[in-house]
Amino acid sequence: MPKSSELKQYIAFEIGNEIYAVDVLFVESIERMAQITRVPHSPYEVLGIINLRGDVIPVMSARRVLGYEEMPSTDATRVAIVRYDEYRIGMIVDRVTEILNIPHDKVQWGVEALDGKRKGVISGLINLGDKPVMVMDIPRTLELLLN
Amino acid sequence: MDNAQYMKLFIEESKEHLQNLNNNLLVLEQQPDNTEVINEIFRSAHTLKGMAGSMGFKTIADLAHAMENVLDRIRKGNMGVNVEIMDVLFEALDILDGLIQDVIQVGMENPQDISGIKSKLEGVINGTNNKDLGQSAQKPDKEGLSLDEHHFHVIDEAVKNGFTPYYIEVKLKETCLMKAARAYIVFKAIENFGHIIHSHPSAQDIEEEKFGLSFSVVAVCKAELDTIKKELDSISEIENINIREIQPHDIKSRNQSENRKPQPQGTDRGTIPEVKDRLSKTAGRSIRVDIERLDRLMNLVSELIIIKNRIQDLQRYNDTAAMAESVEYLGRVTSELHDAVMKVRMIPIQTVFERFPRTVRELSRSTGKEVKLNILGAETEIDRTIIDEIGEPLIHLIRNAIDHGIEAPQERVALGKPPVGAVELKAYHDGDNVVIEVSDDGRGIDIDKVLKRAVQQNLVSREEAESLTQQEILQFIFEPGFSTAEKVTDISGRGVGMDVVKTKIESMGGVVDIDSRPNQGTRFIIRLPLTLSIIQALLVSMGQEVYAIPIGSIKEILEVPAGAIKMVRQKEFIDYRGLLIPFIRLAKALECPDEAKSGELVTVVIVKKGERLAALSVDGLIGQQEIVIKPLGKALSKIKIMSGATILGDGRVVLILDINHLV
Repeated sequence: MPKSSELKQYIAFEIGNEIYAVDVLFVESIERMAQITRVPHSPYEVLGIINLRGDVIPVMSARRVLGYEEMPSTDATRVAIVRYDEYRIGMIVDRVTEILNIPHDKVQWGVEALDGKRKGVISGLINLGDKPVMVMDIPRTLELLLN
Repeated sequence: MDNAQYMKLFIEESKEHLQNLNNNLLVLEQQPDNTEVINEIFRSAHTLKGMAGSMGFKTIADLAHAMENVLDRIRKGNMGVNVEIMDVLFEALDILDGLIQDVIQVGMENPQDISGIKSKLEGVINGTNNKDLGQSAQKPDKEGLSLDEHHFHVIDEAVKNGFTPYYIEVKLKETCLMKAARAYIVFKAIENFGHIIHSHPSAQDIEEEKFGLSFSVVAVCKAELDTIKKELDSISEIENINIREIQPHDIKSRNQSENRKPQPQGTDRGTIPEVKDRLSKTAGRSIRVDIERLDRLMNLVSELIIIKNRIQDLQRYNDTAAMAESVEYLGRVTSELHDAVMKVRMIPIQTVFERFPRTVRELSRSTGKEVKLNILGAETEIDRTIIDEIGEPLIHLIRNAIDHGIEAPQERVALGKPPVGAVELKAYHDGDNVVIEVSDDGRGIDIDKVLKRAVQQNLVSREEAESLTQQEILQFIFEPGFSTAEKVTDISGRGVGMDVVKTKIESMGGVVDIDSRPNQGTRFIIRLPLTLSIIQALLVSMGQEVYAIPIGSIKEILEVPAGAIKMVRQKEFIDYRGLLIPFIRLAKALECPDEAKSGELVTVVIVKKGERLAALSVDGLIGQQEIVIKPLGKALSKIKIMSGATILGDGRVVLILDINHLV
């Protein structure tokens, strides 16, 4: 367990009007949107594959993962390249806002913001004054894609 | 530390020596008098012992030493070869292999109790020791002591100084509790009269009680034979003592026989330097390269091919003769470079096949069936990555062939077949594929039984079952949990395995076909791509989308009239040269969003999956291109109809269809 006062970094991004965050340790890089090739029979959340400097990687839509309507991409759309275990996958977000430094005990863990299939995708809540930030559980999200 | 660098060498070389031992032991079993092979085996064991010793792997060195002792006796002609001895040697080899595998996996020796196998090895020696005892009473040069030049020299010197050389063999009583201590007392007693110059087993082994009931020593003493005998007889717990003076002529005859007996070895000596010479020459022309470096080279070639495709693409903006020529030249060079790098990665399938004679030997012994293994095309070269993977499925097929295929000898004779069953392993190149066939001349697969089982296990409905072809029925044996075996044997029949074989082969981009005839035998035909990462492909368009089809799975491209598509039991077929083959609408199979083009003529790509054909309808043809296969990543690994993706010259990502799963 991390020490309660230890600062952890999160990358915060927007989906619609809400703010989400992922542990920076899972994020390899933030990329601009690229042309997506559709992959037949892929899971609903996966939009297809992209060419990332010569590597082929799948991309998923954070909107679909979190249960939002799909929207056309804009200039602000970014792909966060997420890495966990043997997975390397891009996550498309509306906009990356900032990097947050949060002490571990300032995150309210065990919050279950989503139900059903998406249960567990949000694992924590950061109360930052004007707007709460929802922390995404990357391992759980990737598990969701497999099943 | 710098040990790591020796470690790699140790692993590589010990693997080679293990394989050498394995191969040569098999030869020895067939040709027990082949001195060249015995020497070769002895050298391998000896080198292995030395290497392990210098790396500090004591257990390995110890076991290799024990094997060496047995081999040495065979080499010196003190002991013949029989099945029991071979079994013990093979068992020791397996344990040695296990120990070395531990080293490979964890980088250090896994200390293991090897006293069991060691005493078996000693048992082999002692077994013949006892036999020798009777016959060789007057033939001291046949005794179980391996005396070398040095010992003879010492004996000579001692004789000059008034000592008498004795050969003393002591057998302890079976009831003797502390053998080592008793042996120590014997040693002490002998040393009262002179010096022990050699013992068998070695003094250390005796001290550690690593011997059976008997041991022997050569000593030089200044006492009469009777005096020594009397003294030794007074020690309790001794069954018997055999003591004999070593005559000077014995030593001479020994020396002579050393020179004479290996007369064939004399010629051998002529050939050894030659062999060595040849070896050192090849050694000079080849080097060991870390597979990772080759992978890196291959990746760079892949990148080069992508950029070449890109430049080819850009050619349209500057379409001059000079540009065209340069691009063509670039294309040729990259292709050749690719070929060259690929060849470096290729190794003969021999390295996999050479394990199998051993497997067959063991299966044949455990099943009581006589089996002869024929290997053809072992020199066929195949990509290194495939070599590492293919062994396991092949072993499985061989096991099945022997366990289920080959009948018992009596049964075979009753059927008018030769009593010895034949299993054949055959490898050859076929276009861009490597084909490996495993066949037997056994009873064949019972099609009716397979179909009955398939219906029982609900793999197919009774109605559907009627329309299945023989090939389709045979494919059921690859279903998980499928088994027609009525009794489970040690070797196979639990219904696990064939599905693993298929999965493994498909994961390498290959296919398996089965050909089976009642009472004539079964043949498994495995087709694998020559290389896994760069292939020639046909690009086809489906609406806005582009897909790549590997050229290796394409038989022909045709245009057929829309009216030629026939419906049979809700499935579409077309007539291809008099053969009805499935017609697959690619747009539907790939869930394409765009409306499929409809017209008078349909463009179809005839693809093959092993022996089976199918027609894929496509919207348009773009052209042939060399493409680099990139994996789709774990999140999409469940999608079987794609074998990966590639990046085109313009940076676009295109999916590669896996015909094996689509058809």
